[in-house]
Amino acid sequence: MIDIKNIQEIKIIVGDEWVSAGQSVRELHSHDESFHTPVLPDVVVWPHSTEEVSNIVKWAYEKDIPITPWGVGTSLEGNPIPVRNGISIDFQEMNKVLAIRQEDFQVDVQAGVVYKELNKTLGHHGLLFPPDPGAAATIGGMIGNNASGIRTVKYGATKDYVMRLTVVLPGGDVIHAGNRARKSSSGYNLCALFTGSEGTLGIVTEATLRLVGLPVNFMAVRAVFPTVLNATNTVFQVMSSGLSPSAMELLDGKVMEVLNRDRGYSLHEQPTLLMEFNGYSETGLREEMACVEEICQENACSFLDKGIGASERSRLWDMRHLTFESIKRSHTNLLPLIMDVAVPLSRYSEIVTFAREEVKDLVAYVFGHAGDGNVHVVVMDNPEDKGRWARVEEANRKIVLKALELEGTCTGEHGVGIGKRQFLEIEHGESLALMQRIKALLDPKDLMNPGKFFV
Amino acid sequence: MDAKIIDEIVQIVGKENALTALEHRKCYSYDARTDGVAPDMVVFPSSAEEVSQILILANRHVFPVIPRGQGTGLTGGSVPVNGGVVLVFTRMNKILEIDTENLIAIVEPGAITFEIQEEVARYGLFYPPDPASYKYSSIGGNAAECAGGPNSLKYGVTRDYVLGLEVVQPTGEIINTGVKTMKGVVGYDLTRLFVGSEGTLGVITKIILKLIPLPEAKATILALFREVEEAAESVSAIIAARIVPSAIEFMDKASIKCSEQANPMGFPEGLGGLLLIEVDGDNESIQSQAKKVQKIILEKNAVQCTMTQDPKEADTLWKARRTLSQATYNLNPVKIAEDVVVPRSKIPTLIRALEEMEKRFGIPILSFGHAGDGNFHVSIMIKDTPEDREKAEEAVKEIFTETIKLGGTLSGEHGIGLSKAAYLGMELSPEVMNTMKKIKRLFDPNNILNPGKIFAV
Ligand SMILES: Cc1cc2nc3c(=O)[nH]c(=O)nc-3n(C[C@H](O)[C@H](O)[C@H](O)COP(=O)(O)OP(=O)(O)OC[C@H]3O[C@@H](n4cnc5c(N)ncnc54)[C@H](O)[C@@H]3O)c2cc1C
Ligand SMILES: Cc1cc2nc3c(=O)[nH]c(=O)nc-3n(C[C@H](O)[C@H](O)[C@H](O)COP(=O)(O)OP(=O)(O)OC[C@H]3O[C@@H](n4cnc5c(N)ncnc54)[C@H](O)[C@@H]3O)c2cc1C
Repeated sequence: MIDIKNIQEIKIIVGDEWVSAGQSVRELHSHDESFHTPVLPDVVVWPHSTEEVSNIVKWAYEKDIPITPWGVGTSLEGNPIPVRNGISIDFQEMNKVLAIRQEDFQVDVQAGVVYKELNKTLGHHGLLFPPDPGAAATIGGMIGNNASGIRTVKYGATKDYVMRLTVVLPGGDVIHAGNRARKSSSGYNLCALFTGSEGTLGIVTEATLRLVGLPVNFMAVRAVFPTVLNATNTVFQVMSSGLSPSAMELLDGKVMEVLNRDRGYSLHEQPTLLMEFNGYSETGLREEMACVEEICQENACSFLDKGIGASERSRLWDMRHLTFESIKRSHTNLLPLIMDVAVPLSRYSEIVTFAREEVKDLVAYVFGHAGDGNVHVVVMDNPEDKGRWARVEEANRKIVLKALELEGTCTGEHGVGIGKRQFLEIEHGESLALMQRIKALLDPKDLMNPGKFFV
Repeated sequence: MDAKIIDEIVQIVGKENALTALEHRKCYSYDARTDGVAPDMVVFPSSAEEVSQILILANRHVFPVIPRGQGTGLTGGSVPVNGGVVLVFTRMNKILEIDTENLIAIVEPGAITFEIQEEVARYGLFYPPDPASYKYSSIGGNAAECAGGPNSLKYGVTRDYVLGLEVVQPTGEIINTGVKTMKGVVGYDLTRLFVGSEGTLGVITKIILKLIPLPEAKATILALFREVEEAAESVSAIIAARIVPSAIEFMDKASIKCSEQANPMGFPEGLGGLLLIEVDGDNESIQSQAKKVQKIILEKNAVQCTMTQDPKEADTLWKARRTLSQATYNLNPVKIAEDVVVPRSKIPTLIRALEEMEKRFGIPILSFGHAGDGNFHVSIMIKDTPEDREKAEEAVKEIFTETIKLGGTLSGEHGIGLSKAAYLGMELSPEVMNTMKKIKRLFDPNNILNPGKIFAV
């Protein structure tokens, strides 16, 4: 437990106004966007520099106080919840873009930069940081979770863009992992180890990110299908035909209903694929489009809107990004459990069909980054109602096990946090022990975001 | 090593798969560039289980085990430093599965890079990483070094294509890492920790590779410049124009001269830089991409710019670049080769610094390589004399100092191995080195797996 004297000591490190033990502040940092039980940190701090973070960590490590980094808390598996209280380190004040190196397609940022803001700035330079989870996520939180997004199908996940990290290790030492070279074979790939480690191995304070050039030409497609199976078969055929969509999203009919109701759209309330293609030449894009159209027709596509202009395109992606919000708003008295399984593409139809069957009796929505073989099943229910929630958990478990059976993974992008800990052993077997040993090696006191990853 | 232990190992792999005679063992004491000592024995395992049994013995009796693919490494990664057992993967060389639906291949570590590429191409698929040694190197060696090649610029390095691994830990446990899906975030990314670890953290016994569709068409452009800055500016301008070539290779003044002497292409005199650019994609866009590249190059004052879509002609254009590595030996018998990378914008600074060093030290220093990635193979050509060796040593230190100053790295694709271990501290802080060493100790408490590599003793 942190006492008044402790808070005084932290104030000396970060300055009076950047520490708070106020109830509302603590509540804000007690939960993410999932159903997982909130836990209050004892205190929230807002550091301004790597040095301050290092000093906080050093101080806390000596005093055996748990530390959990906090981006903006948009996680979906309880990842930033300080389950053993202690300090929540909020990166809101470390939100500077430090240097844009246009010629090198790189940017240096502090961990608290919100990626959408970053992309606004980068856009002026014709550059883009592709991973896009949609929520108002920070770079630190994206690195923590190795976040993906709708563009991952073409551009990869956050880990593919992390070149160099400044990391405060448990105990307070500061290291720079990686470098600004486009490739490197010197020593172990520590960047990869920290990326996706959810703050359990160290705290990222700064990052050098690789960027891509803003694409020149776009084409977006909205395709509507009579059945989900038609849609998922289309996904597989498009992906295996050599086409390279920059987005390929599936939304089931119920999601479309919610979107129409909540946002006032008037879209077909049937299984829908949203696709985007970008590329170098317009002619090339048109060729791709012809191919896509053909595949859609073969799969009984009942409506196809293509060649959508820029404003309509951004409306489509807004719609996709708002899906989760709209679902939550439609069930204000319920909380979401979000499944995030991913399978090899050829098994996509199978997992989606299985999942839909499994959640038939529940309030559930199915959508996801189809091109990655990733599907989200959002179940809205009441965790307080033990009986009902047990049924929700059962569905979750069955769907995860099915995904593993199909040689997939229990989480494609949301991370382990609290929610997926139970599946780690099943998925990893022996290598789980190695992960535990790595954790114990770097964080021997188990103070960095404790209670995550391992049961 | 004790004869009894050797016997036990022979039992594990079978007599026909073990070599103990000195003349045989000697063949496994060096790689493409570095000499070490002969191992006590050489074995050719056929399964992860055999590897595991050997590693368990190694821990019990504490002897070194050194994984080896094809020994084409350039930094001594597969070279024994004090005896032990070399594990050669030539028998575990099968392509186990090509999944054309999910664009995945599962291969054994001894499979040859080129053979994998050939095999998947038959299905219209592409495994991009293309180290110049791809016809001989093993995929296990590629993964262990995180090898790259010309087309890393567009397609990335080996790491970007390894989805998962079967690894025998130094202590003998067999584990699987990674996924067969296009993404996954369950737990720490052990796959990317093993890739590039140069056989010091585990022995790779199976690899899940990601494949992509084979591009339809290719065009090759050769451009000659008076000044290195013009070449470098062309690289930046091409990339700024949203064209991502599948390769941008560079040769500096000294390299052009050397290759011209060995293999006259009829280039004009006084060249300061050469670029070889390859664009690929669909038939539709290839022409327009190539034209745009040409236009940029001419705007940057290229003295000559040749383009072709004909594979034979393309081969001719690549000739200067391909034969260069060998031609360097016409200058002097000994090569000290480095593999530095700097951010793209720092290319002219690095090349000018190297030109200046060449003059100052009075020994040939050639640089060529993957300009789009900022990756340069710097060849210091010397006579086998103490004076020359000393000069080269000085030059290497200066090159590394300059590289680090420019925000770069000591090794883009060849690894640290034995030959660069002494310099790693120039790039990595003591805290980073310490973290890496701690990881090594955690994985391999008895330091039996490929000891003496990466970290100087
Ligand atoms: C509507 C909605 C849609 C979403 N869509 C996607 C999606 O498409 N793809 C996807 O991948 N995710 C998605 N997410 C999940 C979430 O947005 C991402 O995981 C995001 O990366 C979290 O960022 P954050 O800043 O909110 O981090 P937080 O939730 O605050 O933290 C995330 C984790 O990282 C750790 N962390 C935070 N900062 C640091 C730091 N500086 N150093 C080390 N560790 C740190 C935290 O301790 C925690 O474990 C979505 C969420 C919502 C609400
Ligand atoms: C002419 C020439 C050109 C080259 N060009 C390039 C180039 O363009 N790009 C590039 O990246 N490299 C290049 N190289 C270097 C070399 O070919 C690569 O490093 C290659 O990846 C080594 O493969 P190998 O099978 O020969 O491995 P080896 O040399 O046998 O071993 C390399 C390392 O991998 C480890 N290792 C091998 N197999 C395993 C395994 N199964 N499990 C764990 N560790 C293992 C070894 O212990 C060693 O540390 C070149 C080499 C030559 C001779």
